[in-house]
Amino acid sequence: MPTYDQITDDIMVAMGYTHDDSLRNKEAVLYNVKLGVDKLKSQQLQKNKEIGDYRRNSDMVSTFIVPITHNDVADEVVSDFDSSYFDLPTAIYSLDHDGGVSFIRYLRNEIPFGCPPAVALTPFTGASLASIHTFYQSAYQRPQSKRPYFARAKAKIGEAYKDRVYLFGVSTEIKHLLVGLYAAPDYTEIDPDEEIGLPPHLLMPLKQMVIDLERWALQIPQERLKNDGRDFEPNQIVRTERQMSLNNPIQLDN
Amino acid sequence: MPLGNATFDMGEILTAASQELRDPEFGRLGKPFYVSACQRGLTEMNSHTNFYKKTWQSSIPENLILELPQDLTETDGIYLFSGTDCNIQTSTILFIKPNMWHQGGEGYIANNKGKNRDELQWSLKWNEAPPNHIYFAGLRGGKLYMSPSCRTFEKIHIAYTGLGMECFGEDFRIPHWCREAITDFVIHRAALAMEREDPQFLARVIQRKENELKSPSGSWYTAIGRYKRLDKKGRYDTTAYTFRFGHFP
Repeated sequence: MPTYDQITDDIMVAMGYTHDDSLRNKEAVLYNVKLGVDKLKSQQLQKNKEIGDYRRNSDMVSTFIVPITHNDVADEVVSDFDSSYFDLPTAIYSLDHDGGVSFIRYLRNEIPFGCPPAVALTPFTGASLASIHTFYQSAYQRPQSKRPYFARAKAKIGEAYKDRVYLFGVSTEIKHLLVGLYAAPDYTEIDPDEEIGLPPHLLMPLKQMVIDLERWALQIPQERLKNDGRDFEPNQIVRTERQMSLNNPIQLDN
Repeated sequence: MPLGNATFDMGEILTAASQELRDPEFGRLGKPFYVSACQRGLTEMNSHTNFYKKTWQSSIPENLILELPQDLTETDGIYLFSGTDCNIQTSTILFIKPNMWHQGGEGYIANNKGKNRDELQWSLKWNEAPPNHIYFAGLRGGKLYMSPSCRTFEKIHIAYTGLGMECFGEDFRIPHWCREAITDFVIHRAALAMEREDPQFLARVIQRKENELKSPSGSWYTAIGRYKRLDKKGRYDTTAYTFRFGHFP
């Protein structure tokens, strides 16, 4: 599988950015490659969830072991509330039905081999903080240890927001969980030597996407000398963004 | 009545239902929704067939007011008996008297009593004292209000139909003869809940499952028919009752 560096080099050659003073530098193109990869991945995830083909997304699931906090707040504290939760260890894709969370299970390493493994037991059911009350009203849906729920919300800690997952029905004896996440890329740093993580048949749409982004960057007009259009030559053609067919591979979710 | 003894775990139903809906991760509604739908389906099937037969015994209380089992949906019979934990010595039928009620002490209210009796109902005596060889009770608000004559016996036995599962809120099992019907019920309920997300696909699912649940040849009425038909043993016994016990057809 190619790396970000290889894809970027390919596009830079195609665009003619082969010299040191080229209009676009490698870091800028690299960033656009990452945007394209992210867009294609989220397209794939969403499409496969919609048609119910979960296994096509399997190679994008990352598993984590996360520690749980059981927060028993003192009565006089009004800035926090009682809850069990963990904070997501990574940013995840925003998909239907909390689809960025592939699964949550109890971490049970004590189960002997040959028995159903922990990952095959006790699924956590997705809910929201606003809807969780309805489940407590149904005898067969009430949160309990064998029927746990989770609900996501942002929690402001100091000046930062945590991507928090609240848990319901989980015993305070539980200290860790096994979670599977569709991890979204981290834009704060880009490793050129990292593999892009896309199947080969999506390399063509990726290349086209990045070239389109580059074309768009080049179209941003230079400083206009006059704002009434007199800086244009007569009949000068104003370049517009390329029109794209609905049947273009970029538009399709492949 | 081919009740049989074969039952399946609830998971058999839920797995089949979620696979047919392409929701094996239960990511959309969550597994508890399917469990709840399965329980509702089983309760509905029980209402149609009364398959969940149970018995219940209790001592006759001093105040002759008895709270009936919480999961009683239909009563097959009520009997009074005396005896030990092992042996039943004497027993009789307890009749239900319309609107009979009392407060735990002496006397009672009933539809047919005293001089102002309901002429449409037969009564032995005009005064309040009930005949001591007739055992009856009022039934109101989930409680039995038994006549003083019931004190002749020590215990009460009730044969009844439950909910379809032992305890509401607990896990349950599905009888083999209604397996497909309950699966279709669960799929139908889940498809209704998810229809907005994928109406083109789910409208067809709902239509198919409504056919299964409502048409005479669908899985629901097939299951009811299976439960209610006589099995070979029943047919043999009917023959024996009819021809050997002196009753001609």
